[in-house]
Amino acid sequence: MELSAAPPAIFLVDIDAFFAQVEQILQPELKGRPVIVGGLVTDRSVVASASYEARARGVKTAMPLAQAHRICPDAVFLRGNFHAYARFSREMMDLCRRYTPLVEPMSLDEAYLDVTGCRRLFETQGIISAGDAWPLEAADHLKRTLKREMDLFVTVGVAASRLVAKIACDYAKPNGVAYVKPGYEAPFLAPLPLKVLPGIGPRTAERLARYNLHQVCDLVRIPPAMLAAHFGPAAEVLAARARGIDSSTVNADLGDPKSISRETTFETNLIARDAMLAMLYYLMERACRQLRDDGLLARTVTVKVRYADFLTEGRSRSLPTFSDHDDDFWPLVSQLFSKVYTRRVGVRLVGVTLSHFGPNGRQMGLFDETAYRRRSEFYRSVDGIRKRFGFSVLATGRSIELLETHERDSNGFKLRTACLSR
Amino acid sequence: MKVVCDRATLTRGVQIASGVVAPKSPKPALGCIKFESRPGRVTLLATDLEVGIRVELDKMDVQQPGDSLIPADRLHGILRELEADTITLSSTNQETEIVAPGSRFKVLGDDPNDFPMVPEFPAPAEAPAGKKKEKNGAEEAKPAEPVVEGIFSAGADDLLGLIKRTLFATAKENTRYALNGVLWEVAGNSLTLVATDGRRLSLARGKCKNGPKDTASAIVPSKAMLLIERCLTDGVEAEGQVRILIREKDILLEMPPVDGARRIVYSRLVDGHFPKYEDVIPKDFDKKATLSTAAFAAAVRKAALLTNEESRGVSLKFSEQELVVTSRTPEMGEAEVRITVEYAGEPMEVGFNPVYLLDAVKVIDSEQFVFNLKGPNKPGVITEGKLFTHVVMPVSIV
Repeated sequence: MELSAAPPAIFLVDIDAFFAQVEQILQPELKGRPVIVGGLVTDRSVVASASYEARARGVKTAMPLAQAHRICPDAVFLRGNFHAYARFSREMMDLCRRYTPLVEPMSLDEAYLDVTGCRRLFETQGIISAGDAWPLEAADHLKRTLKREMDLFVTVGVAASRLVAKIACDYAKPNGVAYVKPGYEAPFLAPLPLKVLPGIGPRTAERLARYNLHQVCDLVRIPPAMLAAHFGPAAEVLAARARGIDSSTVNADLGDPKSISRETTFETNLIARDAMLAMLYYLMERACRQLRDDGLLARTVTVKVRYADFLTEGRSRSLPTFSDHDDDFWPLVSQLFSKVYTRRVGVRLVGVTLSHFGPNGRQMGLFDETAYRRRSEFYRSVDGIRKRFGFSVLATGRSIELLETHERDSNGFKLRTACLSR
Repeated sequence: MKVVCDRATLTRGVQIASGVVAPKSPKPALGCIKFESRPGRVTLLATDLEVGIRVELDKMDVQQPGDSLIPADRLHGILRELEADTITLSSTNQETEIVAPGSRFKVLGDDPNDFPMVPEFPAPAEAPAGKKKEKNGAEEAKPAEPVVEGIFSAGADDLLGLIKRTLFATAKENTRYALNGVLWEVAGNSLTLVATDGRRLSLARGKCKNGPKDTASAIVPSKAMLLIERCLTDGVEAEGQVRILIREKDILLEMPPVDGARRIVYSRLVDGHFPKYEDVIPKDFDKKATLSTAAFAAAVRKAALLTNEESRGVSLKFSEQELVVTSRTPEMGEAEVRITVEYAGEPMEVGFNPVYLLDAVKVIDSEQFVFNLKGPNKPGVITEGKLFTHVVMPVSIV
């Protein structure tokens, strides 16, 4: 690799108030109005996303909807259209990939980009001029392109490291671009409150406050040895972060998911095991289909249950070999569920996560190879039929029990909330 | 009970017996080793209700016969720390006092009557347990011909070889119960052991004496197999004979006496159907590679350095006179190792889990072995003469 003196140029692109903004794009009459995605006021759910109009009135993410309604009664409450969000997310990521192949999606609405090596390219494309502030120009260009092509407001943080790009992005929200020039990290961070540093949550911040440390510059002044005495091994990382030092790279390979999750909150809290199992089957089915769509094999499955009092339990188990078949995972899911669901308390949410993705080659079996191949063909047919006629055209396994209780559209059962984390 | 013991002999016996003890059993008696002290002989018993062992001890001076239960882990720990050559064990009620020069322990045990029965060979076998004390002596006299019907015997070293070639291939997970054991098939003078975890299968053929005319088969759990292996590697003479009795629900093995003391392993059999293993051993091959055992193992080990659990496979590319072993893992890198091979057939490439290949090659004693192949995504069969056959399924190249 050639040694290059040029400092890295990292972007963090973050879509402002993602779900709410997508709703405002899809329904232009909502523009300028407070929009809250998460559920109808009567739903007992929490705010998943609030538009900046709502945020200005004090509505925060994860606030119960009823409370949001109290402080912002004229807001438009929506249950959300998660397929649309996933589509917007995909389009945004694709657009980013036009600028650089090194795009690492962090969530649906957030991605790191490494454009270090793209300077020449941008120059020939006329995206940037010859000056040293070229990353800022490129970020601005990206931001304008997203607005023009997708009508999407984003905030871009630009810096020589992921850490500073992230902090710069938070600093510039909403609808902004912030560029921290290489070498100016320390003065940029110095006046900021300590909680902007990743790894400093409310509790650590409180601990630091007890030592009269409030701003990043306060932390920089503490000798590393003293910091280590109080914070142990974490001190080194903390000290480096406070100085804006972070050598982690943008890893586009991580574009491959590390896990596939499907979860949903029930309309009302459930106590019926069968109904929960039926939903778990459906969620597992969706996750497995995603797995096959991505051409992956997984080994580990996690079942999550959130009780009415928000106590959340999850447990995992692994298959002996990698698989992408629903019926390999189902026995584990149902066993895990009986281990996880132990309290006599209503359940508000269940979820399934597949993880520990496997090799490109699959270890073949001695006794069940034919059966395996037959099942693979079966699932391929099922996926094919669903791709053509919509997910709902087939209902399989225990999810059949949902037919009586849940409405369907072509995308499958209509769930109150869906989570597509990857 | 009061016994003056040779510490080394006792420690060795306790070590073997401890391997059976159920460490966290709800029945406290099962966490103990039972001492049965009779005039002239002490027998240690341990069981987890599935597997059991009786270890006879010599060099014991039984001053007062009786039974007692002593917690295995505490006894083992104490014996490890003591240096004296002889120690004295004396029990009253459920307490055992262990006395050595300068040390005294009082260990609380359990009621000997609570200890389950550890099955023995049926009575007639008792008589000819011919004790011939001759340490490191040349030929150990065989016990007289067994009287009980169904008892057959196998050479200690032969049996150890069969176990070594199969036990590693048993399933480690509990998905299919029958795969957590080793299948024994006895007929006439042949004893065959088979083990598989569903992705590879190991078959080892050996000889025995006085086997039944009709094939008798049994699935012996892995834990019992490990115990047998331990007994056979613990001072047993290679030429000694192991007496074996397979019954409907259990198996009994009597190891060749060590210094005149017998060890008997008991195990319940796995209740289940072993898969039809003959069906998965392919017979029609058009490609055959003859490889140096050491060179092949070294090549696979080298290529495996750049694999992980996620990437798994190493690829074997066979062509005339050369085998190229390669691996490639996205975040790690790649490796390529070439060795010479005697190969007959069309050039081909096939992927395997390197761990499986190494496990199989490790148990081959000969300098060379044969790797029979059909093609990519088809099983490979490693053979060492007629005695060892190992089928290994490939990693499919998607």
